[in-house]
Amino acid sequence: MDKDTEGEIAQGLMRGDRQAWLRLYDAYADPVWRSIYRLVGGDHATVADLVQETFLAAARSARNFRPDRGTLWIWLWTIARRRVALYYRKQRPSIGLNRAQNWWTSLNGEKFDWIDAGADMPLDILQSQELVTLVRTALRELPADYQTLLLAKYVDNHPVAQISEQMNCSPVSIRSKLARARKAFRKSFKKIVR
Amino acid sequence: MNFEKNNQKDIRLSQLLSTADKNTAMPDMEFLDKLREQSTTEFLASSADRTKKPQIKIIPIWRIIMKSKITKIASVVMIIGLVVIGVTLINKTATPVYAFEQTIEAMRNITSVHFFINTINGDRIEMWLKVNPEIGDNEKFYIDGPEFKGAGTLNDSYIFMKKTNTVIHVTGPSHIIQFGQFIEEMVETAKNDNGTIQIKSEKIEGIKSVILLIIETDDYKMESRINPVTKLPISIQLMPKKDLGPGNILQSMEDFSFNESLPEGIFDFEIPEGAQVIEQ
Repeated sequence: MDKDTEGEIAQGLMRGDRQAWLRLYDAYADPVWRSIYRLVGGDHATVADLVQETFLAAARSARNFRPDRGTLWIWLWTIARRRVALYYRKQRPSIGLNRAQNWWTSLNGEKFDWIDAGADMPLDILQSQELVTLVRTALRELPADYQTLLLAKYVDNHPVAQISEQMNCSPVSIRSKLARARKAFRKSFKKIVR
Repeated sequence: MNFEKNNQKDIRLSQLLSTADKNTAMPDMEFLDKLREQSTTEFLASSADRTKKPQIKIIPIWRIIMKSKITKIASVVMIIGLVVIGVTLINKTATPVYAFEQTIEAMRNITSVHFFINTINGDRIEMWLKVNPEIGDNEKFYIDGPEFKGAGTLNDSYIFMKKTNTVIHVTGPSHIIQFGQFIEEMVETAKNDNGTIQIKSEKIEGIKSVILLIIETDDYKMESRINPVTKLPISIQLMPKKDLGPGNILQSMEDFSFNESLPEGIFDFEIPEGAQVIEQ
């Protein structure tokens, strides 16, 4: 979303303008759905619940949106991330995660090199469902802006220039944040499998 | 060389992170269409609420409290969840020695809370809460003050009004106490109200030094003293700067103790003889 559009929507939200809300919703409903799916996995009903909670919470606080604190996406995704975190906080310890942790422990090879991207991860491991569980869990632990950056750069393959425009930051700042986000992800992953 | 190496690293990280995309489904357009209408209605309703009451910015916890059927008493009950947990999480951004994760972890292990509330009317009220550490909800509460006494669960509460000899029986959710949600509320409140958060150290008798957490907005100032060892609150004081609306009688909470043995039958409520029961 370009700066002008973002500014118009932000002003409209603060005024309580219906069209502004609809523009926000139309722009971000799909990305919110997809991004929550990436963190939560294949449970359709849970994803739908979290998307609903996100947009209803956003609708209630939209008039308080402050453009000086970040973009609309970061604001919206921060709400979504909190809902996801709250959902997992209420869950009993996941059997799937325990199984994935045990699976990781049983693997041979330079495992931390794989996570540090210092060596290629074997294809069969890359395709395993246990790895998906571990990656999603590690991602969920990260702050909203790190999640956004990592998914935009490494999953959606957006160039830094595009991300910097989306996040209203300079490319230098984005590269610097990406470095911190990568580090945070690796730390989170290692903590989970330790 | 470095460029190639970094590029290779990017590819590997991309392969790893892209696993999060596995088995993700396309958005449910029918659901999203319905949510479009629903969220628009919510947005407009929220906007309309604001235009009706432009002078007072009611912070979210108070807004929830005021929806409660047993407003005054429920407000006291609810604030606990808010302050006890909500206060502590702000530390995440403020000081490395008082990390938010430590507090969350500490609160997850709590099974009971006992403390006293001082109200703006000068009353002192005793409270007990039984907490379910699995989900952080208060399962049961007991409250005893000069004007009322009550006990109940989240879905079934009895409040005996001493002066009028009446019992208010509230079935259905009369108040929502979910620690996690209160955390959310506190963070959002502080952000939305453009509040300031300060962390200080303060020496008090009996404890070498405590963490003093001050959250201040245009509407209120809240000071919490946190035990640096247990990461749990010692006392919480609320200082409204404006009229926060009816039902907000909390002035301070003190003498917290956690994980005490619950007195037998503390949450059982017997309707006093001759009392009139009002169903709500």
